Amino acid sequence: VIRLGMIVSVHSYRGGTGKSNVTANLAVCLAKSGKRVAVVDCDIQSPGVHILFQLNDDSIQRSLNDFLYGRCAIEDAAYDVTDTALAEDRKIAGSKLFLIPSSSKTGDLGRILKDGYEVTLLNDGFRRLLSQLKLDFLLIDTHPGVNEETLMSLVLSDQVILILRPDSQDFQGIYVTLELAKRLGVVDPWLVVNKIPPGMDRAGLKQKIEMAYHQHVVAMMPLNFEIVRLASNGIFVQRFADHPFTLEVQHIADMLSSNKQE
Amino acid sequence: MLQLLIESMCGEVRSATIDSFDPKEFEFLEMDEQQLSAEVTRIAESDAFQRLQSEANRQMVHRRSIDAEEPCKQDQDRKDE
Repeated sequence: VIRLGMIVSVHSYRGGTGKSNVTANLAVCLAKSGKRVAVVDCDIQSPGVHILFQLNDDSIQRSLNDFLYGRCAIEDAAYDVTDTALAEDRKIAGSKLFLIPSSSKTGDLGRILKDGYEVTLLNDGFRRLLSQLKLDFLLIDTHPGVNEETLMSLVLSDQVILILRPDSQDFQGIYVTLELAKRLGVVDPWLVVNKIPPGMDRAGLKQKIEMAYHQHVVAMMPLNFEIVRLASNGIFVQRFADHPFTLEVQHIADMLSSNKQE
Repeated sequence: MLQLLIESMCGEVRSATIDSFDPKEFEFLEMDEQQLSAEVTRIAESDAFQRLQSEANRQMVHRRSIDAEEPCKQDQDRKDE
């Protein structure tokens, strides 16, 4: 049985959780295993995932904004970043990685802030991408918080991944996000804890979070000094194959692949 | 020399911060569930959220109808390849 591609939203309540980095690295891990993957940068108010894929602003002719304002089909804003993201020796036949960036142009950002956009367009856009690009996975890098656009992205997803740090504000914000998402019909979101400081009792932290939210924590990622040093200059999992962060991202990728096959 | 001095000072500060932090204590993650729950209820009962809920339901129905047609098409696409 061939199933339709899976939509996965990666979300956090606050900015700075490492959401875009996790999304980009997760996409690479999935593509490395021979999957066809696309990342949509739905953080339209503050786009950035294109930088991780070395796609500079000048080379972006079409973006998600153009689709949302009726200027192009969504697949016309898809950039094939397979060669940039996957090292030759790690590529498997069938691997494909696309990026649908959001515009960083001042005019486009201003228009989004002023007029917003029709969130229901995303539904058709996502389904069209799955179909036109024959995707196995569509990853959505959401805008942080609990705004209308983001909540709708979560609703339209087959799997929601919520990222939080061991931080009081994140802890409370995720509670609100989870409760609202559940009321909208989001089922069994996964929790990922990122930026865990050295020395922190990981098992205790995991237990604490799972008890508080009654949701599974699927990955516990360390505070990653190497990713800070990398400074968005490339894809982390490609450069640090055995790093604990990479192993955790790979674990999430394996879980997603296994869920898709079920 | 100045760089070395700054790095050494930063190292001391970082080490002091980590050493003084009791990693086994998670009190800083405590939350007032009652207050947060009230906040969630307030948001969920707002007109804006109710509208979003209706739209979400409508979109889910729409999505299911697209999915019902799409597997056949995608299956065919893959066979064509």
